[in-house]
Amino acid sequence: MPTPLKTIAVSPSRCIGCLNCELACASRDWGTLYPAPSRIGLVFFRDGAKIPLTCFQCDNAPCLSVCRTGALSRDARGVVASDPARCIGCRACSAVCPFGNVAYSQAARAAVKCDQCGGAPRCAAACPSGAIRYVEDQDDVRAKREAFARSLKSAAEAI
Amino acid sequence: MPGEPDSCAAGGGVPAGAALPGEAGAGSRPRLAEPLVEGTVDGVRVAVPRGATILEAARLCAIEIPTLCHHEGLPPEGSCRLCLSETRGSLAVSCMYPLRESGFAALTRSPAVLEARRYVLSLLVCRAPRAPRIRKLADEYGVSPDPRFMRDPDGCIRCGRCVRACRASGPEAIALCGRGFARLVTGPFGRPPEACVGCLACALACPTGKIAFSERDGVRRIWEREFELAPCPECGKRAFTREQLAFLGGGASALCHSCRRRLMARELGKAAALEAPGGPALLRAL
Repeated sequence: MPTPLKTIAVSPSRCIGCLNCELACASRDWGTLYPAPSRIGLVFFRDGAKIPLTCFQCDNAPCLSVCRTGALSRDARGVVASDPARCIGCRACSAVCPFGNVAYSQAARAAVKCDQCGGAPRCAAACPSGAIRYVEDQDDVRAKREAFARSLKSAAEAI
Repeated sequence: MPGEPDSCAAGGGVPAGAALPGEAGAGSRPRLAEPLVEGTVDGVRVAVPRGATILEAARLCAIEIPTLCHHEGLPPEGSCRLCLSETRGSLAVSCMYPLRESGFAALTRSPAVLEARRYVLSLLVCRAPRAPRIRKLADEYGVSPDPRFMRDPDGCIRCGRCVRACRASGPEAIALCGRGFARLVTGPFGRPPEACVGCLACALACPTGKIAFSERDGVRRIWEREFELAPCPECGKRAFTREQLAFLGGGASALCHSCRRRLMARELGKAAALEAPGGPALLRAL
């Protein structure tokens, strides 16, 4: 599987909860400033913690494996992108994404997911605090991500 | 140069989303690895990967060919006959006709094409006189229904797009059966399709909007069947039918996508909290 050359890196501790990322994403093809159809979602917790989440572009992407029409495909950057013209609206991708990052849009009549805006993600550009950055996926980023995945695993086991 | 993806002649356009080798795809799409063939569509010069259809070449030239049964994500069937064009002196179905050699010359609005298209439309409008897309096309081409063929206008043009969508999404619950006026889309033995999972792909694929469905009180009705929409265990929002979740197996769950995100964020927060200085306090807060 090709490795993304650049990737969206999220630092929840820097997030100020302004929702610029959601608005920037939603305004992309619906031309609205209504955050619901956004591909990136800010999750708020009662204590004030905020975590922006968007597609992880999984290596063994479940959404990609259930798509039977080729509407979802992995491009040369390793990003799984959705082609609305090929989507038949069976919603299987949405049902199998473990992270809730593939939605079905009634307006677009297609599955919508983050494709990193084809190489210039609007969420990262709109983020004022550096919580969402579009960075080179180099060894140090990769190492951090792997460390994070390990701690995620230990947290999941600790529940 | 032939074989190089960057050398496509038509305004930098390669057919949208040409699949990478080894990735999922319906297989009907020309691969970029194919050498380019050159020719013209309505006199506009264009180069397309060998095996591309007239329809794809025309779209590269921004020439509109009307289609009804064509769907980019589904294998072509050429059943609506609306996309007829003229090549080599005879009519061809644009969505199926592969361009294999350089020097092709397709005409999409020649007198013969327009006459054939009007005739096809006069038959289609008998099947679906009220469908907005058909009416729009009929108005555009100045076509009225031929009363001889106006028998049981049920809104279905028998293009089979729903059937192909169902096959593509997996269940293969419905099929076209019968011939002539008796031809229709149905479940096995004319009964409500048992294999249907209620995903709505057929209804969304239908170009005339004939396939009716409704959703009320957490129950989706389609094909004379009822499907309970499974409530999200977190928030109760209903997104998927139980049958579809069972059909998709393992990874599928009734969690709505915002609750999935929320659960994921909670895990991420816990993970971050374990690492962070003073972590356990943050962990309790989450």
